[in-house]
Amino acid sequence: MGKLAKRTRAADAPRGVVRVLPFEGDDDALLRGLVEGQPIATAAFCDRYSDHVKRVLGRILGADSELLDLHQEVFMKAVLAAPKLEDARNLRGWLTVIAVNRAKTELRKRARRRWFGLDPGAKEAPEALAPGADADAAEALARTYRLLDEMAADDRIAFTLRIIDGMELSAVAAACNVSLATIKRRLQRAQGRFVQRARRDEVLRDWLQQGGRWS
Amino acid sequence: MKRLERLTDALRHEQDAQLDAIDVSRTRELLLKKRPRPVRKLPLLVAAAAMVVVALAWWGRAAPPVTFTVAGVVGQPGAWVAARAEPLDVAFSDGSRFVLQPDSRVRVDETTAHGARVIVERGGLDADVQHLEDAAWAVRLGPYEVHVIGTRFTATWNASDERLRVVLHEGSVEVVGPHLGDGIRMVPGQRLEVSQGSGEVVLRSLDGRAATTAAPIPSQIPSSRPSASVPGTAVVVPVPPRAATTATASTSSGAPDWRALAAERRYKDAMVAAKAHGIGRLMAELDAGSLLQLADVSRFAGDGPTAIALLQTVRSRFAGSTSAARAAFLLGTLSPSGPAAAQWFTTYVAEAPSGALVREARGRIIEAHVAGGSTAAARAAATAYLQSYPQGPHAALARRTLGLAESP
Repeated sequence: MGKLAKRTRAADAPRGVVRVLPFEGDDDALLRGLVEGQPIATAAFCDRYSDHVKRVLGRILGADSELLDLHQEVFMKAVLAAPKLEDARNLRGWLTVIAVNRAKTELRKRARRRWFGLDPGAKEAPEALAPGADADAAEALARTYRLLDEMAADDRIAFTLRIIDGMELSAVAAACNVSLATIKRRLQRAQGRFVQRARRDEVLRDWLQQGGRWS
Repeated sequence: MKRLERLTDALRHEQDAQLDAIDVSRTRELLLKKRPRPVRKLPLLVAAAAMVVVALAWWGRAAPPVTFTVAGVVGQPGAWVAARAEPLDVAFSDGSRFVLQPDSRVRVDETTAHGARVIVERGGLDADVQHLEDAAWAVRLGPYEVHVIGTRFTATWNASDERLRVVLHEGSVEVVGPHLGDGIRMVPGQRLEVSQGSGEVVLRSLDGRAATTAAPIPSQIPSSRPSASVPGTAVVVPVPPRAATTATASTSSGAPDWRALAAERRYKDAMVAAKAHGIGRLMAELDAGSLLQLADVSRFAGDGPTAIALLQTVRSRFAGSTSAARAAFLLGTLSPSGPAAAQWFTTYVAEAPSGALVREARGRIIEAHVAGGSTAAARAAATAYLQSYPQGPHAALARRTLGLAESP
């Protein structure tokens, strides 16, 4: 069990500003602090898992303008649900499940909106492209997600987490709360559909023609 | 297999770059500021019901018409207002403003909850109409009328030679009247001149280039309509019947719209469509948000020079706006890391001191100075960064720049 660092006011900090020092405890301490509503634990919780949640959401949905809102929702939900989590060793996996479920809800919402013609897919373009980014890869990525928009949410989640993110198969199964056999079936189905459609895409086809995992 | 792994790696790497650009630090701030509490649904339902009742009651009320002042004095609808040697300010309660040019005579004929009808007997005015939902403004100049939603424009009416002139700075207006058929819809950067006597109708861009921005289709111009006064530099642009869209929504040839293609993430195709429409025209037509969007599309399509040109257009056309500041940041990312990039990021910080990208910009200032070999500037930037963001993503670089040991 780790110890919580003492919260102190730095001598040179502006009046009224409380500086939160780094949290030194393990996930057990973190969960306890989270349940007790300690700001230092809340901050540490974000610091430790913020990038992970952003990556999970980003892989599944793509880097779009709503990602920040979803990111906040996932953490809000996690903080609320923290008292129900019994084993802190699974904190990361538990948070991943929350993120995946939120992404799945979002995918279904978007699918409904598309079906009703309410969402033409006019999302904002991603915030910024890193200097020196590969334009061909950006195009391939964009086309990949366009194809994924046509895929069932469960299949898309399996595909993005396993194929694009490279997550372990068992971790993907746990994140989707299904058995390993089920996730393998989803992945096989998703790959098959993706390859079939990608071969009709003039850009992705070039990548696939060289053979490999999807060919 | 390796080629596919290369694709997977490329996709992952590209997406990582995109995700890096999304700042999620607000989640932390939000959680620290306000700890989430379980939602109690019954009080919420009661509150929602109460809000519905209040909203219905509010909806039932007739909204009061806009009011206005003339040089600070409350004005009365129907009264004539005359500017003599100096411009005269007519300010409306919704924030819209009309500045009468010297020697102008104007009447606010009618006011509603959504705007007013302003009649210009002689002279002209500079209008800055707030873009509000359901806004309905009209400016009548002689036999012509300018229909306004939200925009900035200048309109003058010379009664002696019966000439109308409208210059549109922002937004869009539709001008109706003699010789204009179903009307002319203008886009920013255009000047329209109509002579009621001769029937001459001239629409041109402010820089003198041919005003093809409203997607004129020669076959749509009735043969009876007078041609442009200066062939090749101006054109007559009738507005097709009401179903017509503006130039920014589609191309005259029916070619794919760059926005639709961009929404499908087909960035290269979107750029082809935008170039077919005319990048120069789009630079003159589009609002700041659309220009930034097109710049993004250019960047994603790998067309850096066009992206830079679009961003510089935002800087020049919308100077002082948040969009201009954002353009500065993006110009920094597109500049080779060095003094130029540092200058753009510094500009962003100066213009948007509380902007969402300030932390990132300040970190990139360090990177740019380091890359450019500006040691003193890099150290100064690093010191400032650590004071503000001791745990920020560029903190390690800042410490290395200052020769400090890494914090544990």
